[in-house]
Amino acid sequence: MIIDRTHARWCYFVLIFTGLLALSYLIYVHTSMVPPTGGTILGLIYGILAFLIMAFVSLLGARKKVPAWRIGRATTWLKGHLWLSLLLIPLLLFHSGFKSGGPLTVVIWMIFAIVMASGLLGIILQQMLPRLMTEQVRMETIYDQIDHVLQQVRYETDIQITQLVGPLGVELIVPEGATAAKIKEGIPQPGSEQLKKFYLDRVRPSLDPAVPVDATFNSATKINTFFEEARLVLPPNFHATLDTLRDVMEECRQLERQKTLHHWLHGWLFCHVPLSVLLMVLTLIHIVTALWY
Amino acid sequence: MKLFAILPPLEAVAENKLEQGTPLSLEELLKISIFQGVPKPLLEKNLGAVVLRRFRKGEVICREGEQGSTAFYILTGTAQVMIKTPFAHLKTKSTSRWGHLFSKMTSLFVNKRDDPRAQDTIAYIPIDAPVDLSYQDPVATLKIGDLFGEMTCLSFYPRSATVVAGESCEMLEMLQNVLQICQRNPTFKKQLDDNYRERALVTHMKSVPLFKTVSDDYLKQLKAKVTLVSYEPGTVICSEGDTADALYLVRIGFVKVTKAFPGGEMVLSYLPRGSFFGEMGLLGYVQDERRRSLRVPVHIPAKLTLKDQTDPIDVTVADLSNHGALLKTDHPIATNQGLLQFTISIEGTITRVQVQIRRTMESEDSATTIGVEFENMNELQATQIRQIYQKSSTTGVRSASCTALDHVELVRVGFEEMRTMMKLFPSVQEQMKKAAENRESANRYLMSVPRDVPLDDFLDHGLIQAQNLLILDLSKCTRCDACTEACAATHDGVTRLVREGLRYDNYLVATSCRQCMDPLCMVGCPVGSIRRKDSLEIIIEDWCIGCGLCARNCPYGNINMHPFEALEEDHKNPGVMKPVVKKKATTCDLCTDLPEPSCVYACPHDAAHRVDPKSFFGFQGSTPEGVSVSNLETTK
Ligand code: SF4
Ligand code: SF4
Ligand code: SF4
Repeated sequence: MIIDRTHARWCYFVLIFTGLLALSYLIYVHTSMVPPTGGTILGLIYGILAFLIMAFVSLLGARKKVPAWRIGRATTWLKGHLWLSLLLIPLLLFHSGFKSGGPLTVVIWMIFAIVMASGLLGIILQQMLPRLMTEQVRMETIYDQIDHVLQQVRYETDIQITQLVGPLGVELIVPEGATAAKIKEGIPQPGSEQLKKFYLDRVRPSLDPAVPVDATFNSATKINTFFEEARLVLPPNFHATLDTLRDVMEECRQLERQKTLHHWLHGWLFCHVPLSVLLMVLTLIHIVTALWY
Repeated sequence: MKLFAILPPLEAVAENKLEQGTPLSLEELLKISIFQGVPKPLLEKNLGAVVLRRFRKGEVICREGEQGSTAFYILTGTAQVMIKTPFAHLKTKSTSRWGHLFSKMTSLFVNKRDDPRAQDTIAYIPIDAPVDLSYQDPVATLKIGDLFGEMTCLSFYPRSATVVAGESCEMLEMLQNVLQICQRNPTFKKQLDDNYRERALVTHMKSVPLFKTVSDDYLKQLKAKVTLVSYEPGTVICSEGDTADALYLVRIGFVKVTKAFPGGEMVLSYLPRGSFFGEMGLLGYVQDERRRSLRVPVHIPAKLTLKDQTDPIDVTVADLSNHGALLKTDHPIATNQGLLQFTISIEGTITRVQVQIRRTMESEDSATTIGVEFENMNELQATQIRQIYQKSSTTGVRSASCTALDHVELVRVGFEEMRTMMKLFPSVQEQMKKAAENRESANRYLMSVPRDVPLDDFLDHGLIQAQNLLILDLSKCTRCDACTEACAATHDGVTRLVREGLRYDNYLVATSCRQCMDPLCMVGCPVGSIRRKDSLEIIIEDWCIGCGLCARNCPYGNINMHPFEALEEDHKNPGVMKPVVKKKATTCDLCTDLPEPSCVYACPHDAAHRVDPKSFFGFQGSTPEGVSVSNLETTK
């Protein structure tokens, strides 16, 4: 989520609330000469507030499961998730009286730190990566479709080259869900063998969806240079085909780039979500044990 | 996603040989009347491409919506042709009993009786056979000598109807090359045309709203007078500006209607089987005749930009249509705004006027030439001059160009026949006028867009015309797919939002329909159930058979196939009904029934917005970069 001026009110709220919490804490320390802990009324209030906020921020996952329910706009939920979770920092610090406590609370503190850090990383990535993806991946497709698109591109390229140079001598893999096309093999032209070899040795390996694009093709400039050089070697009747192959390679490169950016954009969640669940469970254990004993 | 433009679609690559059926020898083929006269070597080369098929009573020959590449010619027996998909269109509405709290949209299949639509007037459904199906009872019989599946065979459109053997029958099943050989054979062509004239022409004409009131007797007389014409793909049937001499009914294939506008060509429509064209030009002819005796002076105020006020100007006017009108201009005056004002006096009938303006003493080559459009010819009061050649609907010339998109066969009703019909049945003229006016106003609206908003290719896609746009701000969108999930959750598990499409700057534009300049979705519907309303909104009629071609053709993924359950007779156990899953095409309505579309509501990153394109474009033009889209005027 981009942090822009629509977040201003949330930001002010968090700042003011933190100020009030700090004030209450200072007054308490000033009057009773000891910091509040979980066992004191004020410490308990901090704890309850922190737990309520944790429960609310955890509900974001549940809210995503019922997207059609009109229980508040998802944007509001996410803004609440971001800003209210920041309040957890002063609340938990004041609740614990700036002490790490027993082994369980130490673990809770550590997990809390990782969850907060991963959330922060997520926010930072979300400020940059969507824009980067938009700029760098003009041929973007739906993430789940990338492999299918790559398969399709390779299949169609294979067909096109076969139509020009005859059988390639490799298995043409029909993309899932597509029908095998009837291929009309063209009349071999001068230089067909050269094109075939060039395609099979230099281009086709990088069209394999399972294999990352070769380093020769990892930037638009490199791709252009590569195919410009190929024009010098291959006869002019294949120059239009080279242009098509260049475009195909550029599409594959962009889709690979999309995959990488997508992994960055969503990868942090693999740490953030399970650890948040664990944090919630440990917090519940902490509450039960604290109340019990 | 970029795809190879040079490759045909996979399904379009047909086999050269048929796998089912009994192959016929050359001698056997030559004994069949439709092959008589065909050169032997030609037939010999295509022996595997035509087979004899035998069907038992009740056996299904082809199913509606299926892909295919063959046509069938009935040698013996009869077949029943029918549409089995229940007639209903999809309607989505919010059915929550809790206000909008659990806003679930329910997709209902409703028929015309329960949800009447303003323009539903069809009595017959066009199919790929020599008969049309009655809307009330969509079943008809095909007999010996009938050919069906021509469009599937020639243009690979999906099957338009289900055909079941009515009794034991024999048919020739043929591939495109054999069908084309047959079509070039005059004996076969004549047999098909005679068959059509005899059995289908009257129903076909009756299915056109224009001829609804014409008596059967008159239509029977007309059968012999009309001409059946065919065109190969890409052939121009008539060009804008040609003299209008006939009305055409589309019998097979699709006709592309285009109009020239500065810097390009606008596709006004794709006309499927059952449509007609040419009425606008014809009406002009008729009205010309009526007015030939009128000689009324007309004064046209014209304003044209000059280099500067002192430019000495010569103005000449010419009646390009050669209808003998007398044209005069008075002395032009340059106004303070650097504009030129003058008057053209016209006596007689005006069709198209050319105005040439040049500075005195300069050669004719340097003249600025413009065409003049008269907006209200009936009162002979021209009110506006536009810098584009465009004739009003009251001229005797073609107002647009028509081209055969694929193999097209037409019924040509000549000017004389039309004139007689209009005299005998005045309502025909009324209907034509109504159709011409509707078409003219829709065309005018379409044409006005690129002229009034000369922006970049974003607008060329017709986006500005949409009532609402759904835009995704790609610089905010984390590609989390919450929007598509919300759309699916709201619409019975079927999402109508595909996060792919046209990009404009940092926005991905998804909308209910872009009302394209070239509405590709309309090409190929085998039953003509997708069309544009006069308001340009795409509408899918309730006899859609769910073949999915329109969804595949729409480049922006704005058409979705919605599955539903229906009961159908089990072919293996006649008389027993079994549940089957059918599909209907539907376009996204941007959840107009809800205060805010589900996708927008469910986007956690404030990246999805439903916006009014007018304010969106206004914003784009006047606000500095970096302002958040959330400041846009969003339409709720
Ligand atoms: S449905 Fe698709 S192709 Fe048809 S007009 Fe709308 S956007 Fe264009
Ligand atoms: S509207 Fe679309 S899905 Fe329905 S019959 Fe026509 S092309 Fe097929
Ligand atoms: S919900 Fe919002 S952020 Fe997620 S994919 Fe849709 S538009 Fe993008």
